[in-house]
Amino acid sequence: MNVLKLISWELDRVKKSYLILVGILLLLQFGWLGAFLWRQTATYEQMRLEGMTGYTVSFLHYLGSTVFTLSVGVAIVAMIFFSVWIWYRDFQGRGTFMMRLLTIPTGRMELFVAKFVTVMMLILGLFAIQWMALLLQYQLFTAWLNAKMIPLQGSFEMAIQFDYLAIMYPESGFNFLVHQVLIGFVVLALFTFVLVERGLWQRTLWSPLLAICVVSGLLALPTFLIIYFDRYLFMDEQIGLFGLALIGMVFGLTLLSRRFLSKKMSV
Amino acid sequence: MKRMVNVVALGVIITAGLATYAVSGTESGTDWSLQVESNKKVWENRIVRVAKDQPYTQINVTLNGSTSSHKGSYFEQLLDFRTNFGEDSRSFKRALKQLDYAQRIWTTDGEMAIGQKDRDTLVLLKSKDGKEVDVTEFKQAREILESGWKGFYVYDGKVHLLYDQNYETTNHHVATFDESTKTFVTQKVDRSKTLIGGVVGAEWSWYPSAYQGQVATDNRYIPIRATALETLQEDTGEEYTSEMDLPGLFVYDAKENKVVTVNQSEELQGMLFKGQEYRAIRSDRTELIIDLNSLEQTTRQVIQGTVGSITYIDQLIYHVLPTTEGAMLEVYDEEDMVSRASIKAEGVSGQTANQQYYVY
Repeated sequence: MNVLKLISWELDRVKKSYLILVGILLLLQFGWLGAFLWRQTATYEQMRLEGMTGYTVSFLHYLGSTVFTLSVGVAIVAMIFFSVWIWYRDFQGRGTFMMRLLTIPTGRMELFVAKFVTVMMLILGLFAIQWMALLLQYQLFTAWLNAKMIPLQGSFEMAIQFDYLAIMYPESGFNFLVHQVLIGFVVLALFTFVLVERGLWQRTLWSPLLAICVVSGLLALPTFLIIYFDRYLFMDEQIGLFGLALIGMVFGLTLLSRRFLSKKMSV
Repeated sequence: MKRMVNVVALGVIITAGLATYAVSGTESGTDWSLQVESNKKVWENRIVRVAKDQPYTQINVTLNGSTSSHKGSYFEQLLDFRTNFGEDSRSFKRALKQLDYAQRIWTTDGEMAIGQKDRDTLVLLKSKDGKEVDVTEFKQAREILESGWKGFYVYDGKVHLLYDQNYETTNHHVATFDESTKTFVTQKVDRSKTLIGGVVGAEWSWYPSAYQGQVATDNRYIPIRATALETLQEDTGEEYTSEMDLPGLFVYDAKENKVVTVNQSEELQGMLFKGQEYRAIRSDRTELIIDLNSLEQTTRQVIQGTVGSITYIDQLIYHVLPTTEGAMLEVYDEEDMVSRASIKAEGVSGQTANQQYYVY
């Protein structure tokens, strides 16, 4: 219950900026879709006047365009930034807010869990909005082209297999889960960095550097192991090794976070 | 409690998004079916792949229906991999993967590979059953390692490697490896004005190829791909030379160390090693059979009607002829047609332009 309250409180604090982010992304995508269709129509008209046929438009052209890619990039960067900011904002200002948070009786790990769940929920929220927005964009796209009698190529199912979008549209529930676990892993690594850095900052000026070293050191060891054994192993064995390494790293990062959050961070 | 609204609201959005994804993200795609008129047996382990470049799609059609070839969860892919690569076939491939680069052939004596290990060691791998691997190392082989490899073959009980000395395109040499003394000798090759593009059947990847032929180890003539240097002109007027594949059939005489032209300027399709014979299909529907010990040629009528694309699998000829609806498929065993089948897309017609069909 306490964790749920904390999550709710975290969501409340981020609500405004999250809505602004979603607004910007939707504006960017739908605005660009309009401009894209406008341009395609103009090109098609010109081609038709010149007597050239065989011009087709594909949804892939829209997905592969710079503006669309940019909007996805903005969302990713915003979420990475937020994973760090969700901790740092509490250290801001004079009577740092963190002091109060760390002294509430719920326990510090619950704070950690609440922040983690919040970030994952926000990321999933962006996924959800993109799933809906993309389908809507495709409907608009086909409706417009059909109205203008411009030949359309491909289908929605084909379009979403495009490049990085395939990460968002996994081919089974299992794949979806795998992708979420990997995203969660990135968030966990970012959290650990912040906690190590904040745990050390009163002691040394070099805390950010030290934190980077600690976290990347923890990640580097299994990574080198995987790279080294790569040539000796087959696909299934490689996945097994990767799975073990991932479990090990998650364990290590969580322990490290916990240690720094509950022991090293003084109020 | 008032604040719980946030959690609920975001939860609803996520659920709605997941529902949208579940409904729209699953591919319906075109269903293809393989209809066999006679002799289902020869299609049991076969896959007909329908490939389209624009937009890029691949559909695998089997007797059990069609699936998009990228479909399936990671878990299923993992299980597929495990069924294709059982424990007992791994030893040889594992040894092969550890070499810096390697070529592999499949012979009547089992699998063989040669490759580089460290800076100056050449390794020869041999395995009769894929489980036990014999490793022979040839030290001080820098001369061969720093050359362009064309392919290798077995003749007279010894492994031979054709290569370009120092990567000089026209400077072909052959190295003969003696496993008992772990030494090798090299010799210049009379290339008879043709360049050796590669030895037929020698593969670079450790991953098995469906089309790799099983070569006999006592053939005197080794089928090769021949190339020629051509001077081309760019739009800017700049001239450059490029290696172009020559049509026809060329073999390398392992006894006399020279290139022999069997058949020039004729397009041949498919290739099959059977005993000491080499077979391919000519554009006039006949099968060309060459004895790789005497170079004696025979032909026989095989395909009826127009020639499409040809693949030899399990010593049978799979003939694919695209039609307006899909493709006609025929299977020949020697001269006899043993099966006739067709594939077509359900509910779609006239959409088959620029589609390619491959049988695996």
